[in-house]
Amino acid sequence: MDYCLEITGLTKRFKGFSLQDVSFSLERGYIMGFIGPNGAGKSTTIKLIMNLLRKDGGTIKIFGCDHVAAEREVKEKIGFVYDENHFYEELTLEEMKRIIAPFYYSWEEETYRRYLKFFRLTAGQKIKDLSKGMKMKYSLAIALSHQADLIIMDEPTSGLDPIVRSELLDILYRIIQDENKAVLFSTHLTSDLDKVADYITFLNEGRIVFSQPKEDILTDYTIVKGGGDTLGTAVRENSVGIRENQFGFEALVRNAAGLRQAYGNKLVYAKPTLEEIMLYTVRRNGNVHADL
Amino acid sequence: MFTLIYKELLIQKRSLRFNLGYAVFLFIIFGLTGGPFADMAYIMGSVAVAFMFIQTGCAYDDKNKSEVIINSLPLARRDVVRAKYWGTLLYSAGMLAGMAILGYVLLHFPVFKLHAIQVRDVIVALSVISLLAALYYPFFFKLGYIRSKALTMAVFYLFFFGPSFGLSYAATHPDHPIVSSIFTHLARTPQWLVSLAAVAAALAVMLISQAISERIYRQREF
Repeated sequence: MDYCLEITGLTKRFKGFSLQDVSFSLERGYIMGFIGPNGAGKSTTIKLIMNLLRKDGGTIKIFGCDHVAAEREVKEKIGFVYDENHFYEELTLEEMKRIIAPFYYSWEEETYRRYLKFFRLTAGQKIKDLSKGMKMKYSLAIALSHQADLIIMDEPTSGLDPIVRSELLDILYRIIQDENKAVLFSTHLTSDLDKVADYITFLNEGRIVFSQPKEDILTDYTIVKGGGDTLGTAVRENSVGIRENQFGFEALVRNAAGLRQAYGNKLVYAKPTLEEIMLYTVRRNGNVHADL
Repeated sequence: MFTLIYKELLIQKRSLRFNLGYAVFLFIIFGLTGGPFADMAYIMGSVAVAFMFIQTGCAYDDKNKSEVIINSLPLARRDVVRAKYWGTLLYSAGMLAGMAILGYVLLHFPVFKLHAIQVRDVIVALSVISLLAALYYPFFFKLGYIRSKALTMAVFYLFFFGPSFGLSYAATHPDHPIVSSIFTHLARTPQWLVSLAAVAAALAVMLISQAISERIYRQREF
């Protein structure tokens, strides 16, 4: 398989948190949503991929090469967008570009200019004068101007208004039309991924919950709703998480076929959103009682 | 590495005017005062400006957390370290050249008791600046800007006043056994050899420090 990114058994230990045995892979031509609550380990994983943190175990291969042994070669092919602005605030966009561009052999000045124009950014603007959305767009312009085949984005949409978020998603969709490219998109705003992601990797408390095609996930999981009298052992045993109140319950279950047979039309079945899957999975150990 | 040196110089553009102003201020004060400080004006001025260059560059890196971006680029971490050291020397050399021109202009006014820049000034200044970088940067790369700040003032006083006090002490206490032994030794040694030895020693210390910083920075996490 032609993987852009292949992570196997990745481990990183901190005081009070550890990333444990994280494995997933991303093929060319796809967008992978990397989801999980705050503190799940998404940014840690991305920093490990970028070799900003040193791993304690496991392997990270980018385009088939070890990410440390071939660091310069693989970084040449990676475009990155981080959740915060790490550019020098005192510089103008042009000055910052003059620092970054020489490091990429395949820097395309014309592409860069086109993105600046498309994002309505001016080369002479100071970075400190840009809004959060504009800074993100500038990051994206840089990331897309050196023929990167793997775009890594760490929470790029957090704090952005819906219009800018929508623009970003459109751009991602356009990027992926080139089937040689792939995008790893970390976010806790799962509604963004409902629109564009092909694969979802869900990380919780430093462990992978699943890494699958989005359509498989949405087929596997079902939201079931029913009155309090229908909440039997079968539902409880099959559920990932349950929310109960005085009128009844709502549960996320995997493989609802058994319940459909047992309960038929006594229960209501619905397709879950990624947010619901994330929410119920994160709270699985302490089922949610709405009346608490 | 040249791009990173360029970056070091570029992020300082706002402080350039202040640094130039500071160098002029030092010249005027030391030039008007006369005595040992006037003799050391080039050295003290360039060391002070180098100190500000180091501090400002490290502060900007820290404030913007720009090391995350820099280390995400296709580059070797050793080049990030080397650019700091060599950028400091390059900037200081430029400042020293500016001060040389300024000094040349000012010494035409009798009110200033300055001398034209000499090879000795350049050698001592660049040697002291190399030692300043050699002492400070390993701490910065290990601890970051904020945690290495405690060291900052000690380094400043040591390098700003140290050489001038040392040289003026030597001038006023020629009979001190260590001073007289050094003077005797220096008198027997050709000037060019002394200069060469000073530059070589400072450069060696800086290169050792640079190697230590590179080792530290390779292990650094962001």
